[in-house]
Amino acid sequence: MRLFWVQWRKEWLELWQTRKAIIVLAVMLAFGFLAPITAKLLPELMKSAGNTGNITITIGEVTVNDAIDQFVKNTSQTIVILALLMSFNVIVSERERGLMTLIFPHALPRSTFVLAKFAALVSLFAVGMLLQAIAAYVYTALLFEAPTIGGFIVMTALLFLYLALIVALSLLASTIGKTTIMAVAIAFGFFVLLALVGVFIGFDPGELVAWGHAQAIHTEYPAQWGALATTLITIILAVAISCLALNRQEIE
Amino acid sequence: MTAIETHQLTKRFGDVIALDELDLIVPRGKICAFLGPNGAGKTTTLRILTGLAKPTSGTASIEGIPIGSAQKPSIGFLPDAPNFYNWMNPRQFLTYIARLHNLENPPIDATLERVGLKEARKKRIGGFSRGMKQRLCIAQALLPKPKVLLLDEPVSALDPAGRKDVLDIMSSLRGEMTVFYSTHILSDAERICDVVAILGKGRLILQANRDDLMTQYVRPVFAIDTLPDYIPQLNGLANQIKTKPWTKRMELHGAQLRVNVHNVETAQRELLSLIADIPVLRFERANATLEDVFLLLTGAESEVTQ
Repeated sequence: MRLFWVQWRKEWLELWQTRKAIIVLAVMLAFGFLAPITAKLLPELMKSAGNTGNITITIGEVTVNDAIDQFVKNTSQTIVILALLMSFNVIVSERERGLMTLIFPHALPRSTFVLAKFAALVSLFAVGMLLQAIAAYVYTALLFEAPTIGGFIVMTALLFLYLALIVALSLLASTIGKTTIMAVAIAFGFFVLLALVGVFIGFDPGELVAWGHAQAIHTEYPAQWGALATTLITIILAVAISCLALNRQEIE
Repeated sequence: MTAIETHQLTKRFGDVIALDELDLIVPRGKICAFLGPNGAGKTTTLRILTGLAKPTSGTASIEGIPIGSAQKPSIGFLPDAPNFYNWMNPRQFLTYIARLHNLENPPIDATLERVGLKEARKKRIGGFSRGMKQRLCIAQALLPKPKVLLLDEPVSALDPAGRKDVLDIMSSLRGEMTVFYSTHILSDAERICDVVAILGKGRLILQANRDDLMTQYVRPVFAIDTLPDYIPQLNGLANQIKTKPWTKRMELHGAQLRVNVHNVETAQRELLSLIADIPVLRFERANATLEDVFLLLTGAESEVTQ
């Protein structure tokens, strides 16, 4: 456990000193603010655009639900890409640059190395998600009305879980990919596979996003316990397979 | 007790045999040079000893601890082309290494001073030259005070001054820890090692104390050096020597003549009388060098291993 914290601390120091943590937190905070602002301003912008010609645009009154819609879209589209970009090369790049050759002889278990990387990334996105959610909540409350706190927290937690899944699968791709290009291709393959699994088995982790959204805007939506279980199991399996795969690999 | 021991250590990459039943024993506290031509299996051996690669068959142990077991031996390792976290500075990197080893009050500044990086301790490693990285790599290997230090071509990337510094550091470790290093720079190996292990085509050709090796392989060669003005006379002398029955082979380079002989005693006696008319700067029986031994053994591996 001591080695895990040593490695986790090093990973966080790296995220901080290379400015990656600042960039991620800043982007997530900005998207948190932007969700209610976009929801508020978009109709105004469209109206002004419509006034320049002979087009008549009819837009309903924007509500707190539009701000939440925007928050969910921002997270499930842009922030997911950010999570992928941050994770797909964390292990393969260290292998390619020969850093493992230097570090592993220092009696650092390879599974600790993987777990610490996963934990550092997940904790970074946890902090980011918290900042994003707080920013979105406060600005939504200022520009519209305060969303129900319980539903908003559930939605944020489910979105975070979805991000953790993206991180875990990208980490696995990074472990088994021999080069960065291969890691990207494998990560892409995982997401296609995940979507197919959702179609054929019905426990699509993507349902977590829709379920969380429904919780926040208080609409009827069937509980997605299967998707939740699939997501948690996939995260655990992805990290465990990463540990096993790295343990079996020969380091060049 | 032995520091490093391998038994029938074999490593295959498909059809290629990188290591072929290597049996190696390195005594504790010695500096052992691990010699071999490119592709002989030196780096593969070191990668197995550090746990970075797994053997196809056979066993290896360091300080009695089997490689691959749950217990990790106390080793320091310097890879061939070390790379670092470029965003760190040397102090941060050594602090990280010290934490991995749970060292209390690690001698970070002293270690950096030992490798000549004290002034650069707060500079980004990303801006370091290859020589500086090599020094930092030695520092990270030495910091935990390992029982066995494994170095893969530790001086290959360094300029002559850097090479001397690193060899001095390695030499200063004699008795403090076991140093096992691969190299193809034979003069450097000759300078500091106590024990020599020569590898060829994945097999151990020879392992011996350096001094025993030099004595065993002392060459029946005489060196005669004269002044440049006397090169014509030296050529005449060479023609005379060529006809002698004890002459095996000759090499004449300007004012330097090397005579390889069959019968050392007869040759020495007759050569002394032959050179009497030439102003000689040097006349001596040439010592064997590690290079001679290395070339002899790796060039005639099949004879030696029989």
